[in-house]
Amino acid sequence: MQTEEKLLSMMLHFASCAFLLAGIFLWLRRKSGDRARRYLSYFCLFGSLCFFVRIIQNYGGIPVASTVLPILNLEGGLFTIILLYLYPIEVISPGWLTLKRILLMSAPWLIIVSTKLIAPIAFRELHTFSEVLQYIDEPNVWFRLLILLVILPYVVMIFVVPHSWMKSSVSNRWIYLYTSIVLCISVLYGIFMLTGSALVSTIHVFFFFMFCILITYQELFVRMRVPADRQPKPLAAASADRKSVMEVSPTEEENAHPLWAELNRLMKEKELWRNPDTTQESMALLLDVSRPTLAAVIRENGFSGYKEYLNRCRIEEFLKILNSRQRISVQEAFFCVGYRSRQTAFQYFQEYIGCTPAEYLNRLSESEQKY
Amino acid sequence: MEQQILSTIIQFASCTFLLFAVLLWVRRNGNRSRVYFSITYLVCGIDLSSRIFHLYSEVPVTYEALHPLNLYIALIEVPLFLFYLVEVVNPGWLTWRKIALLCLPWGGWNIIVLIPGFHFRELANFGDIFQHIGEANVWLRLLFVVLILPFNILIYRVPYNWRRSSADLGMIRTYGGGFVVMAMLYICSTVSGLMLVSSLHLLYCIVFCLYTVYYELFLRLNVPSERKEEKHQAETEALQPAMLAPVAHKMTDDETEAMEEESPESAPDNELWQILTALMNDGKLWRNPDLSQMEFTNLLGTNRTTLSLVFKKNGYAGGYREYVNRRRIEDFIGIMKQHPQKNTQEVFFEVGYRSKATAYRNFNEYVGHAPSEYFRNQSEEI
Repeated sequence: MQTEEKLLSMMLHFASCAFLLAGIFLWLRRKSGDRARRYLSYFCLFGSLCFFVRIIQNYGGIPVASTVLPILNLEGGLFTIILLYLYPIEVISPGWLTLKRILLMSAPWLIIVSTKLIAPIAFRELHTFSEVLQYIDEPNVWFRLLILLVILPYVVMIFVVPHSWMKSSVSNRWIYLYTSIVLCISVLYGIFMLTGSALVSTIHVFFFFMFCILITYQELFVRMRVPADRQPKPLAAASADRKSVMEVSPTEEENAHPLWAELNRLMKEKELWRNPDTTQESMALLLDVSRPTLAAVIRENGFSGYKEYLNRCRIEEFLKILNSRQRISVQEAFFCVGYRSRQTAFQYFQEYIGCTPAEYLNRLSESEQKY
Repeated sequence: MEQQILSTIIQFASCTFLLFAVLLWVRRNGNRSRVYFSITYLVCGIDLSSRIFHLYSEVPVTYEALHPLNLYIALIEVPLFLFYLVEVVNPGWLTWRKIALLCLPWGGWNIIVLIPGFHFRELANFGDIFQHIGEANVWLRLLFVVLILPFNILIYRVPYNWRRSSADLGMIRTYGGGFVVMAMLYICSTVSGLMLVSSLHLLYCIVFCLYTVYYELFLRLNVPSERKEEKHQAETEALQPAMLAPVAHKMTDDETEAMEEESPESAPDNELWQILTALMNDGKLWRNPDLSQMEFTNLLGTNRTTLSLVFKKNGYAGGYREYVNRRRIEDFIGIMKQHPQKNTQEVFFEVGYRSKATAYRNFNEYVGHAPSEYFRNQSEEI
């Protein structure tokens, strides 16, 4: 075996194992998650199986990577990519994915498998990219190229799905990140299919491995659940008696910059921080000023920048919810004020308040008992 | 065939251990037991990855009996694994001195390995060991392997108090037993020098680790912080259940008289039920996760059949288990209503649960909602 093949074989083992573990963990925790977690679990288990088949083949004497466009690999790849997209769609828009839509999504795969079953074609074994070009006019070759091309347009699906931050547990940033990583994986897969190079395959599998770990960790520990009933009613009542925007931070109402007053008014009325997708650009656009001006004004008023300002708004609102004694879990409250990551929320809370939410609540109930 | 299985399993195990080491480290949250656990897996993972490099370096896979390096890793792994279990069973018991003491065999092995000119004979299988048993390097190795066994017993000897521990007896038995089996398999594999046994050992390790990490991350209820501090108080309290029995019996004397007047027909059953409730209420016995049906029957002074009959008569079809769990959930709801800001998990711990999954399942079963839903509905009604 050459070094590249050894590397690939090792990477396949690792990936198969990681996918299996991720699949098992997600499956075991399916009850505390939503439907999306199940989809991710199916994907991980299937991915593990795919890699394992390659490992077994390798032990059977077939080199890990030698042929170009092997049909079994193409079918597996297409099915994996379909499974891979079920998860983000369910996360972005829970409940949008009906059985009909799932069937529609997997239609290309079903068609390919059924045509293969009905009309068995002899697939020519190809070894290099130039061979692909040489035999391009044969139906079995261009058919396989077609399958490869079908994989890419699936990315568009994610952008078609209606996304509303009120009902979804992810922000736009997450969607972009996820999509670009999946695109990268798809492209690497395409290159591997066309060249049959062991090195490309190693990179592809490595990428997949990292992706699986990150996404599973994110699903299990970071992503928040959408509260069962998205009712902003009690929160609106709680926010009615808001005095100043900033109680935890230094503010002066007098001789303030007109832009500062305008910004505060806008934040108070529209509650922009509730939207996890608010960016400095969108805010500057709303105020009709340039980004540096906005940043300068925020800095003049004692904040290190836009991020701190926004997060202080969120934490302040969060404290109000806690103080108002609503029976709402910490995570749901974080969700309501615009966080979509448990980690970020806890981190900012600790930074601004100096303790964890649980400690804060303990102190609150202690002080209550004294009176 | 054997070689291929072993090489696959080594790679899987290495990946599993390294991933778990990272995962536990990332989720450590100031939890000492997780740090110990993470280090354990890191050492395992590094050891196995070095074996992977060996696998790919063209040399045919062989498996030696009593390999010195293998022994070296095992001697550090066993105490490391123990640290985690001990930390769960009795948080804070493990001091630096005790850690050093437990690592003593490993230190001893270090010294032996470092003795200049000490040569280790290569042993292929058990027959070889037997043949060369007279040589110092062979019997020394055997001696150290045997040293692994007494370690396992230690887990059952650690002082344990359910008020300050996130483990109950069931957990200690399961994990302690699993750990002993792991050590046994290791000894079998290293003494026999068979690849198949080694594969079996590693496979078992993977499954065991998956189980323990899952328990650690998702099932274990953390000990509430104030519980850790009130050590002395808790220790005196621990005596309580034992003292309870006579008190309960004294109380029942008055009650029996009252009962006999009221309903003479169902008197014996009803009387028992009264005693039972009084006993439970008095000591809040359900808060003890280790109180088994046996102990409870002894406390009451009846036998099991009668007890289960009484439970069924009073509407607890599931018997003792259902009764205790219903009381726990009742207690839980009572506490949560009084202190709505308390942490759900800490209260679950308080009322006698030691597993998140069981607590949530019971709540769902008896109340019909998840805890968060239930309390939200409550606040809406107000």
